[in-house]
Amino acid sequence: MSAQRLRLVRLRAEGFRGICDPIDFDFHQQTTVLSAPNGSGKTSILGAIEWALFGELRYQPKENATNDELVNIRHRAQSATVTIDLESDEGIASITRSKKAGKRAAEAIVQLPNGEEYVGSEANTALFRLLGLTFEDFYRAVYLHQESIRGLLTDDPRVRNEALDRLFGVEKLRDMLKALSGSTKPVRDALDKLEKSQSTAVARLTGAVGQVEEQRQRALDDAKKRGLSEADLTFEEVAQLARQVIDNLETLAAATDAPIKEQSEPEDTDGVDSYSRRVTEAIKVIRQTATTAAIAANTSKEIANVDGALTTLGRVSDLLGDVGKSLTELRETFGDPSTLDEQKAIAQAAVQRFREAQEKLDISERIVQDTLTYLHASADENNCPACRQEIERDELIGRLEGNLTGEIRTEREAAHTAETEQQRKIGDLDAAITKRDRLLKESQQHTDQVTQERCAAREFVTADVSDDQLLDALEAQKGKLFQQASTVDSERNKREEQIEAIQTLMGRLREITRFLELDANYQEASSRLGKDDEDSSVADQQIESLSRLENGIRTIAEVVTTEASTRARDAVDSAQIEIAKLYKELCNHPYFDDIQISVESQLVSGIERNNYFIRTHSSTDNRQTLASSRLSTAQMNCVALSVYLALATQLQHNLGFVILDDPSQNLDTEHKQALVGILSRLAPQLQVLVGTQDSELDELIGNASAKESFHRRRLSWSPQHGSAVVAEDG
Amino acid sequence: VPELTTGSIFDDVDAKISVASPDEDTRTLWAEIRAAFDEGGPSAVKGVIDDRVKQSRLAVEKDLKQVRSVTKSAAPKKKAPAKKAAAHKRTTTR
Repeated sequence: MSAQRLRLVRLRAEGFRGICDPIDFDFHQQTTVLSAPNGSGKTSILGAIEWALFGELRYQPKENATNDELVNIRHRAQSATVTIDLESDEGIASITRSKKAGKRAAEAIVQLPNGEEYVGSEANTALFRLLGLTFEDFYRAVYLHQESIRGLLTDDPRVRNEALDRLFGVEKLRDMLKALSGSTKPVRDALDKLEKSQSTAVARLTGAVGQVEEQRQRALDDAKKRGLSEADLTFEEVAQLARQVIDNLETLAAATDAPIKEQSEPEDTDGVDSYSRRVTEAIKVIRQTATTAAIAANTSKEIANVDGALTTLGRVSDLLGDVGKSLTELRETFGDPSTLDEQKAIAQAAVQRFREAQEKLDISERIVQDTLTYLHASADENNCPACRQEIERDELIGRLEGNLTGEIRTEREAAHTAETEQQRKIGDLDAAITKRDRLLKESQQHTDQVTQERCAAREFVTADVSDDQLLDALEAQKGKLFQQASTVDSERNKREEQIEAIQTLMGRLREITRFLELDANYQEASSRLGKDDEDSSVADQQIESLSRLENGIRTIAEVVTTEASTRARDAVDSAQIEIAKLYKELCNHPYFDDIQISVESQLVSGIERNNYFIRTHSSTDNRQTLASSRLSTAQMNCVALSVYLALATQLQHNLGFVILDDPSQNLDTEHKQALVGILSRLAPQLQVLVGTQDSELDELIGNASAKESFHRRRLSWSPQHGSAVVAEDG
Repeated sequence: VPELTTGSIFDDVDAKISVASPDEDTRTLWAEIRAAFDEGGPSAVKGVIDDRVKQSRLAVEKDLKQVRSVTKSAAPKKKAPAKKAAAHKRTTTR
């Protein structure tokens, strides 16, 4: 061992874990035993050394972010402070580390033998240079913790392999392999997924290129059918057509006073759609404006009105004429219609007269008949019965009979005929009077209608015309309106022709644009496809990059695996003899007197890891077996101590001491004696610090060592004061 | 006596990776992984690789998005499916 290695000289601590009040004691140059029952603060003192040197405790789980479990809860200042002095040939190095409860950071001060002092992060760097080993190595080569021993004693091969990896210094490689193994699958999954996505996308693109090529050819054929040559299928042609359309639109808008928006040519094929919409909108505005104007100048309704007035007026006039004709006929038949009543009265008077005449004739007839009856009845009477004058009887009878059949009858028939004639006349006059009254009424009505219709018709004629001229004036107005309607129709037809011309231009423009778009799509798609075919797309590059990443991880994992395996084998090989020697001395097994550790690679989750086999060997029968299946817990503890102590003497670093925390677990007296023997042999070259609750081991160490070669310190603990050294000897 | 301390363990891996893989990418990857491990342990290594995967994935997806966009603009537009004729309403005659 190098004379330069650092040895523990002095420890001062307060407020650290189980230590509350300040403690201050020196370490012996060879062996110091901290002896006390469980819970007296042995591990706190050993941990104080660990914390002072490295600022952390390996087997102390953190309770919170500020790691307050390091500070004794009864310490007044609520702070932990540890100072240790390490001595080498160069002098004393002093390391102080302190931490306040509630603070994350611990402050470190390192004073080197040459007087240099470092604080903060520089202190940790200076410490690494001073100690010459990492925290992990400290646990491998200096501090045999109870947990490290338990790791080797476990039946779980995974835990044991991890513990041995730690012991042989390859746990970083193991952790690295674990990280790499967890990373290979996501890379492979991503690669598979991306390759599949790319394959699908390229297949679809290939299909699309074929389809767009077919469409492009069809568009070209359509364009040719429209009389466009391939040379016309350019955007310049589109721009020219667009300019032409705009000119036509502006002319049309000016002619119709349509308020269209200012038009501009499309800048590229993408702008053609919006340009088309603007043109369509402008055409709509022009049409709407023209329609509004046409409605304003609409003559058809006016024509209908004039026509209606003409018809109505004519019909009413005809009716009035018919009534006039009927009245004329009546006048021709009966004379002045106003004399009809008088005529009727005359006829009625005549009827009366004829009736009276007939009555008189009747009386005359009856008198004649009575006279004749009398004469015939009194044949001898020759005198008039009335006047008594003498009469010629026969002559009288003859004359009376002649009157009766002749004159009286003739007169009466004439009176009757005349009365009948007058009665008929009265009937005719009654009918004529009724007809006259009706005609006069109708005549009045039609006259009123004609007046009304004329009044209405005058609204359609501008000139002040007489009633007779009214119909002609209406006819003239009608003709004028027909002329106006014809003009409006003509303008509309002309406008529609112009719009049709614009739409024809737009059709050509769209046809060319359609071809250009399809051509651009075809060019872009085929260009993209060509790029993919040449394996130079971003996707290809990235997939290739991922593939390289996968290979890189695999290569790194292989190297790390090899390194882990090689290092573990080297460590085992270098320490194998010492391990066997220590095992033989410590375990002293009656049959299995030798031990061998072998390292094999085992594939776990796609990564090869170290798999350790600790086999015991019988030199008598040359038989071997797995130690864990044959040895007792105490014997396995001996194995763990052998491995640890062998490595502690093999590793190169600057610390010249070892710390053993309760090393005698499960050991019987013989094993303890053997352990004390080994420690005694190590002590001159390696300072030993032992923490134990085992009074037997304490005694054995005391008995085995010269009093000047060790210090025994007994500890006690109270809640108020924490750990305290209550006795010491040696 | 072999050097068993871990202070230089990754330096040895450095040298062996240079021998095992002349590829600059692998050496760069290892340097990145080592730095991440020293900084944040195994989970940080996974983070480095996940970042690389994510970066490549995003780049590929962006590129494929462009391919799909080109495909979509090039592919003929699908016609809307014709509406089905209204099914004849059956009436029960019995």
